[in-house]
Amino acid sequence: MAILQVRIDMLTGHASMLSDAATTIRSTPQPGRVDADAVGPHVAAALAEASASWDACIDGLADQAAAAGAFLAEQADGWARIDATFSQVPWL
Amino acid sequence: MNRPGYDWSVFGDIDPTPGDVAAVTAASRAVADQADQAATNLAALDTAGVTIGAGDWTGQTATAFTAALQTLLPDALAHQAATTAAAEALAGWAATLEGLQGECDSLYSQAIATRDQRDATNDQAGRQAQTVAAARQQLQAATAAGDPVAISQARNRHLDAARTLDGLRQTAANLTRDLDRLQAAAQDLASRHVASEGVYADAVGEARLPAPNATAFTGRVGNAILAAAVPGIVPDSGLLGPAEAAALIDAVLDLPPGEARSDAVAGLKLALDALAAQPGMAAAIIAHIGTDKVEEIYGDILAVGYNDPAGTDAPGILDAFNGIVAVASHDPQIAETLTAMVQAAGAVHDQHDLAVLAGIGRAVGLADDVALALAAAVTAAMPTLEALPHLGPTHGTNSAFPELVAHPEALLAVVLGHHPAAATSVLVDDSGLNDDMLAIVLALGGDGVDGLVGANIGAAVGHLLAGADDPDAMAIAIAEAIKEHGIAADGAPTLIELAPHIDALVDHAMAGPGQQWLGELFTILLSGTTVEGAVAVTAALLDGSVDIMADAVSPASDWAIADQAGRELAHALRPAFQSLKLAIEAAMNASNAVGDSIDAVLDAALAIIPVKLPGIQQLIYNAVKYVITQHDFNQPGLNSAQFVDQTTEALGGLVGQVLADNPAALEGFNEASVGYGQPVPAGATAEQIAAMDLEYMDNITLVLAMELEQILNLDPPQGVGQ
Repeated sequence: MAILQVRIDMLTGHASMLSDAATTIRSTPQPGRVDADAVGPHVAAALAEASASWDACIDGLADQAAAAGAFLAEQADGWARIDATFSQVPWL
Repeated sequence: MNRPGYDWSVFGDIDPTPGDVAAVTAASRAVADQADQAATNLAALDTAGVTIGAGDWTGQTATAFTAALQTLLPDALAHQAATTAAAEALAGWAATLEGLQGECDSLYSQAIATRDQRDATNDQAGRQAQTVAAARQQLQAATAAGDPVAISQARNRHLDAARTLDGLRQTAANLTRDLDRLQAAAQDLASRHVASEGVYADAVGEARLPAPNATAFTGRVGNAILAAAVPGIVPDSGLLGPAEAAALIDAVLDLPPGEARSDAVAGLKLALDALAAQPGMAAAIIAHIGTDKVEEIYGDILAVGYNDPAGTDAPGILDAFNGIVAVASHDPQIAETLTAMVQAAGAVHDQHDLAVLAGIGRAVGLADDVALALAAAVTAAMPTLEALPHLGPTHGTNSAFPELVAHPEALLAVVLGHHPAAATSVLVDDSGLNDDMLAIVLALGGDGVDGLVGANIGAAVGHLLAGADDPDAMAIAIAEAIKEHGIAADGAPTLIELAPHIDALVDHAMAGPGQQWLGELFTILLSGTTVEGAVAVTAALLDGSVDIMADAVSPASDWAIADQAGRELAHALRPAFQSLKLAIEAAMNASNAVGDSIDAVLDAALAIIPVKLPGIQQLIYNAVKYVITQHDFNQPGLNSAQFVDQTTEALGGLVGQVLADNPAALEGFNEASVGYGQPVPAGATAEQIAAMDLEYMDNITLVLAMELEQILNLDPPQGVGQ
């Protein structure tokens, strides 16, 4: 039914947007390793620790955004199944 | 590491301000790039939330979803702030380092110059000392000669030389003091360098983020649903630990019936499932609340079940809680305590014990050790359960534990239905289950509340199968049990329930006990059956058999029509025909109304087959008719040759249909039939293929005919492939 298709398209679009957001987040550039002699041993150590925590944050956010997209995709799929069921009933 | 290009011996071989400003600047820029991306990430998530929130998707889930999405923003914002601060700190360190190295360079230049000047002065003083020594020798010589004028001149030269030497030595000493001061300044500079690096290292360190909120997104949605249903029920942080999880369960159990409770149950399921997915969390929750509390929760769920207008709240809470219990049961210590709990509950002192057994009995994925202990406890409790007065109808129905109201004995069926390993243990292994107990189990079933009287074995089996995580494995366990213990009543309904699993039963028979096993099972189940039972069994078996054949001729099967087609199809038909033969023979032998039964069996077969797989219809029909006519009940029927003719002809039609529908199969057929005459042209219809005189098709049908001959112990086929 048309009204369901509108909802399915909307949810699919939202899911795609969040999936894109996950991809964007996951592509966040990393500072890379630094030479402790060049930047200072204490600064290098602190940067390594901080950078690891940022990596965890990036991974977590990307995973969550992807999960949110998957959640919406599942919703869209559920509505699509309902739509498919309705479409088999001629008088609907 | 000392910077190269310097003579650091002037500072005791130590660079007071080591480091590379360019490298620090590059690191700062790299972190700044990440900060820029973090801002983009934040904006992307924020925009998504705003867009979805402002869209046409509305309702509880939409609201909860948007709220859950919002919970990602703090982490994204913290990442942006942290990386920005770190980039600034690194930039600050680069500037400071540059300044310190500038000071260092200045000190270095001065120190080098001073040291050079001092060294030159010392060299000059060394030479002057020789001059002084020479002047002293001249003075000594003049004094020895006694010439007063020469003596005076020599003394003056000696004095002048000595004064010059003193001056040089004084200058050198002064320069040494200057150098010392410069070196001290360098040491001070080194200290400031170390201190400054520490300050900026601390600043960078402060940009370290705590571990991100590990709550799965679905858990966040669950939290949002809970928070919307019952304000304050979820901590503001959204972080749930063992204590918070226990409090959530309590809070939901305490809610009065109504929409808020139903909403909260939906949220609780998502929230607890998300927690269960966190490593170690489920065990931590059960360890935190303790087994007494676990028992109390099951008891509370029982209470909610009696006051559950929607009929879904108590089952929902039970399902959510059991998700935690099941995961936790795989922790050895928790398994030990849960085992002790179910063993104690097996004494069945009160309704709470029943609630514990029935509650954990519905936990899907329970560790086998706990499931086996549970099954043993419930089995041992059967005499007690049988003696218990029914808990209803004064209590009304219970949505979470329907069987406890009508028939507490159904508890065993519930437990076994949820745990195939336990079912196998109780039903098959030597676990002390006697025939009476098996009869009780098999006599229970249906929907757990109504119709549980009498020997409703088929419904009981259906209940066990419906509740099983692996219905095929459960069907095999039941079949083994029936083979082991027999069955005292009409087995037709049981066989009907088992029929959808006939492929699994056949596989099991072929892999293990052999074909005889299946025949014996059917004989037991059909012993004493009625005509109606025979009809129903035949229909059910046909249903199961058709599934087997549908698999065998599936267009998705690459091999279906290639050179193995005939054998594979015949192989698939073999157990089906054997099953049919055994079933119908037993039914006919048991029936006193032979004529009616034949018609009924054929009607049932024809009623089932056309809606499944039209191409198989004639095969099945012929098989049924053949088996019946083999008994020669004065019925006009087909002889062996006619049967084989008809079945092979039907197969030819079926093959033609599959070739017409499946280009890949057509290609495989043509490849395999090289040397056997003309290929089948692409696009040919089933009718056109059937009209073709295909030598290779004849070969396939001959193989089938020979297989059927063996299966049905017919005389050698006449006129087919001769």
